[in-house]
Amino acid sequence: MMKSIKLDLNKQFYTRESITEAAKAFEKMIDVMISEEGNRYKLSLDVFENIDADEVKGEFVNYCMIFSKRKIKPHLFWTYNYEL
Amino acid sequence: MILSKVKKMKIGQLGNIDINGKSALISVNPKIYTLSAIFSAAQTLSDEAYFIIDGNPSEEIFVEIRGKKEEDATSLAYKFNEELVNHIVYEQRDMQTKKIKKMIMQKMLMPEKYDHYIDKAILEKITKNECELKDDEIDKIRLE
Repeated sequence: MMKSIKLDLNKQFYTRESITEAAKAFEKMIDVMISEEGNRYKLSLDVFENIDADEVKGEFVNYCMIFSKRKIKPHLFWTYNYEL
Repeated sequence: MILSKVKKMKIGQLGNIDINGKSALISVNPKIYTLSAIFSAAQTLSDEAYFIIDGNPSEEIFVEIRGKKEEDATSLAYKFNEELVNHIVYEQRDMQTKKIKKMIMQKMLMPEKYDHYIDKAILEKITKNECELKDDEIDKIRLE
């Protein structure tokens, strides 16, 4: 059995590419449906019942955030901490 | 909205944090903190907490934080504020030394015969060891 989680992300902070990248990273755990409404992405995540939905949701949004950040600020190789 | 909060604030109290059970909502002024600083601060704490960023990038940005474990939302919010300051300082420093770093890289990688491509004023700064740019110079780089 699958359960469905709804997510609502602001387009001004999360890119569509980052959401698809995150969906790819989580493809073995969840199915992601993306739709758009105004300036928001409406996501529906289908998760298996035995998986902690809150944890998956949180991790998924964190991944979206990290992938979106890469588009805003590509790292420079000489910065002291290239991961930030 | 923020100004009214600041006016009500007492000394020693951070006015940009609202605690709601296990999660904290932080409002950030985008005129002071850049979007990349906010994302970087969130990424630094992404092992400890879940983040959702929302709001309007030109007026007010909201960051919702929820701890992964039983960590107190208030302490996570304080940690986030601390990281935010660290990252904005780092960005300012990065911006101040951007042109110098570019010049140093050019000087390292290009043969000497191409030295005339390097901005003489900046080269002089490098030799004088003045690695910081003035505010108007930083604004110029930001616009480039």
